[in-house]
Amino acid sequence: MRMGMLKSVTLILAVVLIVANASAQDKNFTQRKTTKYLTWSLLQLIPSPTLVSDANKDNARVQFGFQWQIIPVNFSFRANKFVSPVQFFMVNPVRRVTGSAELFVQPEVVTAGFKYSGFNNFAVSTGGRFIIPIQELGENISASVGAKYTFRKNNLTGEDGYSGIEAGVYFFGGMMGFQFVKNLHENNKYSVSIYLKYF
Amino acid sequence: MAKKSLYILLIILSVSVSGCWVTRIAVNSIEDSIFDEPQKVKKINNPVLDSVKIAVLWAGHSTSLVQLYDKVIIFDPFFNKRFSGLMLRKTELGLFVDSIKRLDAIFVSHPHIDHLSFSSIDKLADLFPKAKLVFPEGVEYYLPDYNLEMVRVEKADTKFKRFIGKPVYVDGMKVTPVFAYHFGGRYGFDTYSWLEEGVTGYVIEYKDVCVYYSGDTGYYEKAFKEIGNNFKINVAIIPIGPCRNCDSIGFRFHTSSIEALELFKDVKAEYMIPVHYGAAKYFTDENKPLDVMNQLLNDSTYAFRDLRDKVIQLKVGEQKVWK
Repeated sequence: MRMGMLKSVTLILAVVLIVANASAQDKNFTQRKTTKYLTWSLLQLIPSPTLVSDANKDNARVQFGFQWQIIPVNFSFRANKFVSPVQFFMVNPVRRVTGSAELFVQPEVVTAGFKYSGFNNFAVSTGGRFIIPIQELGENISASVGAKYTFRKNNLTGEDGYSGIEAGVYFFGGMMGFQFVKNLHENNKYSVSIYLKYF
Repeated sequence: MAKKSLYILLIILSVSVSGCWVTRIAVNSIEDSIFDEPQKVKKINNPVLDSVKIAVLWAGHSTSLVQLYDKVIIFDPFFNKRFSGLMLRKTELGLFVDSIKRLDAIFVSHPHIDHLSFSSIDKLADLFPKAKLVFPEGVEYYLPDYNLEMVRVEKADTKFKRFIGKPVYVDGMKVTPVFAYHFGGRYGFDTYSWLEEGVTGYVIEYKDVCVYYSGDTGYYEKAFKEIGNNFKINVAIIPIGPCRNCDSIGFRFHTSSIEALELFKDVKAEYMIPVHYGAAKYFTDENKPLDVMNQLLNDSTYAFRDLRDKVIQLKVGEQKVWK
């Protein structure tokens, strides 16, 4: 499963780079909107590696998985008068990291599966977070705090999911970082992720 | 395990060799950035003068503090110690920012990391809340809101049709955006692949003086000759790098040393001040563009010897004053 994912990531990256480089040779030097949306869409497929806790009364371990980062809507607190403070899906890093609030959706797959807690491999988290600038108005370093609900079926108990609170620290325009989640559930107490998202 | 490592290596290689020279430069600079400090430079205490026609202070990289009589403007202020928070600048900023007595306008030529520094403009906005922030169309997507009057100018057409944009008046100065052959964007793909817009050069006219700041640009003879035919430029601030082979022509988005001299001839300015070298190591030694330019100016096989007295080579932090 992990090898398959790695192959997929390599393939995605290869396609993105081919598309991107092809357009960079454009001699007319005009903005390439088709390429923009195509490469952006492909880049969204690159997953964020994550470690999720998996426990029952007797045992505990950490499982490896992947998340994808989707931001349906973001509201910037520092948008200038020429641009909209509200953005959908393709979220400009400047408006995001200089201070904003957003709703997010995170599909997640735990590649090896949960051995102890009985949770399903697949989950979707949804919630909201605030992005706070730390250094260079957030472009070099920004942080986030938020809350989310994870829809994840438990095959042993029949539960549908659990809530959690999250915090993150990000670099390079918020495109790379670390996220820490404290879940309000005994058998899935926390997760730690490397956050990767281009725009 | 070996197979997995191979895939990871492939991913890293793909990013590194796919034209992402920023990645390569960053990787090459890691050691310097961790262990070094920028070279100290001599700075002047009072950069804004009382009686002056034109004064240009080169603060390093492209940052230039320019005075036209009583007007004080700054181009592409970049005060940071590091580019992107990582790559250390080779020489420190050649300007005491707090020593600027007044400032009328801040000009941003394009949104790249080394030309648009959020914190630098933030500092200037705190010090000079009445200053205007001038930028070309397209840069607004890469600008936070500032407590400044923001003036968006209509840039010249990058499709090689119209080399001189629509002028605006900023505090009595006539500001004309002019052709620059470069690309916008800021975060990799939006720059090299999407070719986002938001690039310009500026011609600033005030009273009887005229200063041209080309921004980053590739060389395009027709455009620069048209600029030269439309303005009587006293001082042209022109980038001379980065370049791999600085005595060659054909760079797409930057002028090499030889192309910068050609550009200077085309715009017919009285004086040229070379910038955009010395602060960041791109392909070769950060001062190579200057060394090559001096060779070209002194080499009789090239037609640049007449320009020797017109090219003013400032040290970082040095100011040239025309009274």
